[in-house]
Amino acid sequence: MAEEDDQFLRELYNQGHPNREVEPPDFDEVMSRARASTQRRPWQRRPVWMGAAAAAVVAAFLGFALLWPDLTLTDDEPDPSTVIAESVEPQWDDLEPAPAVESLAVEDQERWEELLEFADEIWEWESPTDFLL
Amino acid sequence: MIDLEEELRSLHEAGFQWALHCTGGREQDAEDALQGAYEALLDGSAKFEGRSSFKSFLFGIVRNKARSLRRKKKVGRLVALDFADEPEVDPVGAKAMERAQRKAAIRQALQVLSPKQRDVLELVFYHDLTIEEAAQVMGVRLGTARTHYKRAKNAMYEQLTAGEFQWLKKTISS
Repeated sequence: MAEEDDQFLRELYNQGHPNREVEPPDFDEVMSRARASTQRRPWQRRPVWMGAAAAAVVAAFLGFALLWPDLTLTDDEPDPSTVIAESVEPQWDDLEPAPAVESLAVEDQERWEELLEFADEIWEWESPTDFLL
Repeated sequence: MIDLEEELRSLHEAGFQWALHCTGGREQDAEDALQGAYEALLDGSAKFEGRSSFKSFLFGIVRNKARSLRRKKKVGRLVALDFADEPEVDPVGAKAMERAQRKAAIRQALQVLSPKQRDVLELVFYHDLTIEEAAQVMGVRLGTARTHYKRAKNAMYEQLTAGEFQWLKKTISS
């Protein structure tokens, strides 16, 4: 491209530049805002306090997750599942032994024999309705 | 050692014009980008080491700040010299008419350029940087900047000297 054409383009570009008439903001004003921004305390700058807040949330979550079992169950307290099982389980040792048949009164011995016979009959039943026969 | 404040003061208008270019003509964004650049220089996150001119160094920071603003606001890259938001000037008289026509001609010519081509023209034509300085501002190699510059000029020239814009060359020369 010839020097003359180069000059033509440059002049044309500059003459028709849209920003020529735009007034710049006051230098001192922009500078003082920039200064104020750089002189803010670190926690007043958003990235710093946002980072610190995020770190605190993560730390709290991790701490809670790691310490939760220790907080809810100490060594002094029994496991709740054991407590329930023991309360439902029959205490066999506390039961008294059945008395010997010979020690019963005569009437009672007879009634006991009848009871045993009836138990034998029941044992031989083939259907629950057999007792009607 | 440079007097930072004095340097910035002397480049304030040019810096703002460049910020306007980088933000697609949005004045508020341009002001924010410029302020961001001043902040970076004041807090030391951007340090001038004298490897380029201070002007191209400042322009580089402004460009980065404008890009980061654009990313934040999710505003797509607009045509650098977009007149879309500019109120149409009611042309009064021959000079106003001619100026409006020139603007329209440039706007049309710039439509065919890529963003990098527009950047290099803006830096070299409007801000009087060398192509080497423009390459530093744009963060590209010198050869790449030269290629963008050459292609931008050729494309713009073709647009402006073709058809309805042939009269432009005459008005400039006269």
